[in-house]
Order: sequence, then C-alpha cells, then structure tokens
Amino acid sequence: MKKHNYFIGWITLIFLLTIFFINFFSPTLTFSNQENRILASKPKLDFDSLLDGSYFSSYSKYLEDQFWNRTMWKSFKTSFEKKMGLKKIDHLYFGKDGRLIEEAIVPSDDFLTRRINNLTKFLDYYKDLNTEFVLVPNKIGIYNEEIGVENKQKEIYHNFIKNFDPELFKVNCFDILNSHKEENIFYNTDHHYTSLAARYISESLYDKKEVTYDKYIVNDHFMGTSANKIAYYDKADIFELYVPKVDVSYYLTYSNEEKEYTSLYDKSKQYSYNPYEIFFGGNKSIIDIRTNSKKEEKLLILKDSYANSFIPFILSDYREIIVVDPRYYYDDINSLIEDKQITDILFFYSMNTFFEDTSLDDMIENTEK
Amino acid sequence: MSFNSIIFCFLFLPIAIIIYFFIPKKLKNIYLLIISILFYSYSSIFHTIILLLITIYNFVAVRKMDELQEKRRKYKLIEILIINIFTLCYFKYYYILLDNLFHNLSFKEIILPLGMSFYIFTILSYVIDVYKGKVRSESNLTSFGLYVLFFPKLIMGPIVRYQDFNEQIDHHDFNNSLFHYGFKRFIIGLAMKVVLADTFSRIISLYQVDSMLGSIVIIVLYSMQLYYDFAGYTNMALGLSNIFEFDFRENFHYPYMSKSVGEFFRRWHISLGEWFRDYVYIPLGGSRTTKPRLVINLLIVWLLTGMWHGASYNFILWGIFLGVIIVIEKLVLSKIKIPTFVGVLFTFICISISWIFFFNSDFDHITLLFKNLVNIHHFADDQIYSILSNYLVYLIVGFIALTPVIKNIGISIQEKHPYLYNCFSCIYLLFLILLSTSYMISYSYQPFLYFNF
Repeated sequence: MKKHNYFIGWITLIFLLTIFFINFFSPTLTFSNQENRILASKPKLDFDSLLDGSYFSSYSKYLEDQFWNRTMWKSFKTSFEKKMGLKKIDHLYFGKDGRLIEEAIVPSDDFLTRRINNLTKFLDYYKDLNTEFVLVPNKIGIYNEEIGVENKQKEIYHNFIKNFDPELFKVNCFDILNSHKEENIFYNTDHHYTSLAARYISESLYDKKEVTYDKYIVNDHFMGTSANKIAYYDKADIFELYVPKVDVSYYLTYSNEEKEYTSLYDKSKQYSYNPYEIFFGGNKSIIDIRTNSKKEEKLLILKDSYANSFIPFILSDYREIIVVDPRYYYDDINSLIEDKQITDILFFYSMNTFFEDTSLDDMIENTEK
Repeated sequence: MSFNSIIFCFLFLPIAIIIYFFIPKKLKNIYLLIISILFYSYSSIFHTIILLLITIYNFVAVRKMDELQEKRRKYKLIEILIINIFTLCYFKYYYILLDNLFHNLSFKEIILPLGMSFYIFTILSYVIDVYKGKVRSESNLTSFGLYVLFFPKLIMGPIVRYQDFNEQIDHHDFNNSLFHYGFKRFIIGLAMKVVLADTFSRIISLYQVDSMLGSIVIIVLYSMQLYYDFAGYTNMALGLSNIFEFDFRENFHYPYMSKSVGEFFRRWHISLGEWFRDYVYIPLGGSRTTKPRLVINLLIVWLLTGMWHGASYNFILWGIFLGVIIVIEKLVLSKIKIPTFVGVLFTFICISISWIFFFNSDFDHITLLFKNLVNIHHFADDQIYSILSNYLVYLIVGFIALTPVIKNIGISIQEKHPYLYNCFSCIYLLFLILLSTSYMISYSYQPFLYFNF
C-alpha cells in the first residue's frame, strides 16, 4: 500500500470541525423559504425516545435541516451536474437563457378513464349551462424544441379533447402562446405563466379589443418555485402585472369568511418568496367575487393557480364569479351551483395539474347527484 | 449511523477523532470500544444490548473452551457454534420463514440487528481459529470487545481475522502517513457512495424497464451501483480504521477486471470469500477431491453465500446461479485458453445478470427483466434514450472508475512529479469532500412546493 504524506488529513479534519462549529453556533431556523417547509427542531431527550431509537433519527433530521447554508450546498450540486452536461435535474430541464422547464406529466390510462367518465357525467348533468375548458400548456408544451423533446403535452391535449364536444375547447392555448413565444409569457424560474400570457388568453376568450392595460413591476428579483426546487439561481425574473383599465368595481370574500375585500391583490406578498401569491394572497378553497358589471352571467371557475392571474382580466364580464379550487374545497359542488344560480362554468387549469391532480374527480364523485 | 450521513461526518467523526488524539495511550482501546458502542446504539439500544450479550458470551465461552481438553473442547466448540448460528438464523430467517409458510397468520416482525451477519462471522472465525490453535483466546474483554465492535468494520465489514486485529491492537503511536491515507480513502469511499452509487440507484428507481436496451442498461447500473455502494462503504471503513491506527487488508480489488467469475469473487468482498474458503470450502474437502464432490462442495459454498446475503429466495437463486457458473468454469472453461478481453467481458455479463436475482425479490420483475433482455423486437424506448443522454457523464465516470486507469495515471505522475501529484491530489480530494457534502445535503433537500401550484 502506498502511503501519501501530505496535508489532506488535517485539511479534511479542519473542514469537518469548522462545519461542526458553524452548525453548533448557528441559530436554529424554523422555516426554509426555498423549500417552503418547516425545518426540524432539536428533539427532546427522554427515555422512551432514546430506547425506541426515535431520538437519534429525529436528531439526525434536525442536523440535516439545520446544516449551514443548505441552499448553497444544493446549488453547488446543481451547478456541478449542469456543468457535467446533465440536461435535466429533478424533473426540470435546462432551457435557453436560464429557462427551467418542468417535465410533462403523462397521465395513466386509469387516470384518463376516471377523468373522462367524471367530466362526461358532470357535463351531461349541467348541459344547460355554458361550459368551457381552458387548459394552458406548461413551458414544455411551448418550448419543447429547445430542449430536444417531443411535445407530449400537445399529444395528450388532443387525445383528451377528442372525448368531448369540440365547442367546450374553443380556446387553444397552444396556438395562443406559441404565437407569443418570443415574449415574456412564462417565468424562467417559476412553473407559472405570466400575467401577460393570461392576458392573451383572456383576449381570445372575450372581446377585449377596446381594453387597454396598466403595467406594474411587482418584483424585479423573482426567483420562483422551479429555481428553488433545484437551488439554481442563474437569472432572476421580473414579475410584471397587467391590470385592465375597465370601469368595474368589485368586492370579494374568501372561503366563506365574512370579511369583504376590495382588491384581489394582496400587496403584502409583493416582496415575499412567492410573489405569485399577490393574486388573492395565494390559493383559496373558494372565492366569491361580486362586481357591478352590467352583465347578468354568474361564472363558476374550477381551477388551479394558473387561473389566479387570469381572473383580473374577466371581472367586467360577469356579475358574480365563484372561484373554486377542488384541492381545498370539500363541500358539495352541485349545491353551490344551484345556490349561486351559476350560468357559466369554466375549467381553468395548467396541463400538468389537470393531468396529475385527482381532486377534481374526488369533488365530482362526492357530489350528491 | 451510516458513514455517509451528516450526523456521522459532521458530528460523530470530528469529535471522535479530536478526543482520540488527546486521550492517553493506555485508554485508547477502551475509548474506541465506548465510541463503537455509541455508534451502534444509534440504530437501536435493544440491538446494542443483544450485540453486547453475544460479545460477552463468546468471550467467556471461548476462554472456557480454551481451558478444556480434546473431547470436551470439541463439545464446547459445537455449543458455541450452534448458539451463534442459531442467533443469526433466528434474527435473519425465522420471521421470513414463518411469513412464507403461513401467509394467513400474522407474526410480530423480527428485525435483523444491523451488521449481525458480519459480526457473527467475525466471531465464528475467532472461535474456530482458537479451537484450531491458530490463535490464543483473548484474555482481555476490552480487546475482544473492540475486535468484535470496532465501529468502522462493525456494520458492513470487512470481516477481519482476530490474528490481523490482535497484531495492531496495542500499536497506538500516531502514524502520520496512515492518518492522511485514511482520510484519502474515506473521502474517495464517500464520493463513490454518495456521488456515484446513490445516483445510479436513483436512475434505477426512475426507470420502468420496457425494452432490450433498457434491460441491459439496468443490469449494468445494478453492477455499478452495487460496486460503488459496497466498495465505497468498505473504502470508508478501511479509511476510518487507518485514521484510528488500524490497517486491514483490502476487501475489493477492481473486481470487474476479472477474467473469470471465480476470480471476480477473489477480488470482490475478499474477506467474505476467504471466510467461506477457510471455514466451509476447505473443511468440506476443497478442490483436492473427486469431481462430483468438488461440484457438491462448490454448490454448498455458493448456496450458503447466497443465504448469507439475504433471507429471501432470490439470494438463494443468486448463489445457485453463480455456483453453477463457477462449476462450469472449473470443469470446462479452465481447460480452454480464453483471451483476456473475452474473459473480462464474459465475467462482466455473468455477474451483471446475477445481480438481477440479487436486486429483485419480486419474481415478476425478474421475469420482466429477462424477457426484455432477449426482446430483440423492441430494442429501445424513449425513456432509456433520455436517461442515457442525461446521465452520460455519470456512466462514463462509473465505467472508468471500475478500472485501475485513474490509479495508474496517479502512480505514474507521482513517480515523475511527486510534488505536483501531492498538490493536485490534495485539491482533488478537497473538491470531492465538498462535492460529497453537497450530495448529502441535497438528499435531505426536500422542497415542498405542492401548495404553490
């Protein structure tokens, strides 16, 4: 065996000890903004937890969670792997100009069968209402070519809509977004589309020829969920907000609270880790928006967070808009439709959520009718 | 506590080393014993008590055996062997046997204490060596305890012989060269485990085999994952032993460079292979016997080797599969001159196929892999192309590091430019420890992003 006499032993030992002391003397953090979760705290030592081994496993988790500069280490690994030629890390592709592109969710046959059956049942029951679907492709449905993968989302979309009346899918978001793909229609660092993209979709759904918009910069250093997921902070996004100049006033209530709000923007979220929560302060189970629009229609939106930036553009088109997020809504949807005398229904989802999340099926299956 | 955990690398290890430096020489063994018990008790206090009881029983029983005369000595040996083997079988096989035999009934699961297969085999080698008079029974409980419990080798070996351990137990003078070499080995082992093995493991878990190429890639990944996992862990174990001034023999020596399956297992988990050779194969008659007997001996050894690795039937299949290949090699292939490249390729293919049994206890999945392996009508699928293109660098590095190429380049640079070599290797190792830390942290980095959607 060759023995080498150099300094690696001392250097490594100093490194391990330095990290140990930094960890030891660093204040305990309770929450990680990047991971969006509560971090483990120091476990209490007692005889039972010592005996069943849970003390040590909790302590180990605590050390991992409280490790000095965790995000920097994760970032180091991501940068290393990217330099080593990895095109995708943790289901995120590296696109052009720092664009992080989530993988397309491919639904299973069982998922599709369940979804088609439930929607068919639902649409049949409410065939007298004006119903429409808006399925917004994720970045991979628009920028698939720059990462050299086939457009699975487009294929999934067309296979799915074949099962329904084409009138329900009048708006083809692939075409709309593709025609603006050189513009800032998606955040590079976040999984959401931008307010601008939502505006383009609203313009194809409703007559907005005469509408003009104010543009505001909410946050000029936005690092979204995709960047946080792999701790890849190449280039920050600018979070812009388009607000239509329309003569409509409104008030809204959240999740059956009594308090009424006069703005759908929560400005306290402007500089938070997730400025997207500026819309309604984040996802809510149900939002009731009442407007002074001259229109008589009452709209129910069943949606994911992609609808949040879309709703500001359609306030003047309805007397009342009920926004339901099936992921957090556990009441009977039929009763809601009847009680609120809903005239229009809009399913508004990003493709990845629509073809992965089963809460919409749960909601339909759990209705009384 | 595993060596590649944060708690070990950034709490247990640095504190253990610092205290070790400052502790008086005569207390070093007792200190190592105490930290070994602490290390083990991290996994389970109950299992630590079992381990301590087994250690004390064997210490006392072997002392007693050593005092007895011929016949009674033999009876005592049999008693000790039975108790040790029964203990191992009880924890390792009893529950699985009951569960398989009586599907409808529910039994309280018996959890195998960590490293039990290793420490029982360590003890058995000591018991037999004392009986045969190769070594004298240990009179010091601390020394014996440390031999069994020494934490670097306790969980995953290597299975160190008492003679090798005993020679070094009182040599606690700081060995600068060994200290640095130990850290070097530890860092390389850590990188093998967290950078390569864990990445290969993740790729395997991501992919649903659906083509011939997919099946081939998966079994190649099995080969690399297992090697970097086990050899990486062994490197860490040997490196830690060096840091605490013990120097044990190699347990892996570029096994995938072997020209036959038989040679492979002389270079893979060497200490286990030698254990079976010395305590099972040779007592059965070894190779100096008739051909039918040789075949039976080999099959017995490989059946036991399979059973040692695990209690489920797939390990038995793995052992039998390898046993049959080794029999064929001994009886047929050994008479044919095979070019080195062909031999290495043949060995790699056989070993890679054998890992299908090793990795999968689900018979349907084993069948699926074999079916796809010969499915020439469906050569490749999209997912496997995507995996190959994305993880190409890992695969290339993985293949290169299976060979001694990097080591040989290092040696030639060291001979010509020792100063340059030392500087470069220092930077390289420092980078590896930083990289390994980033991988360890990344595995605990769990963004919870659902409610953002």
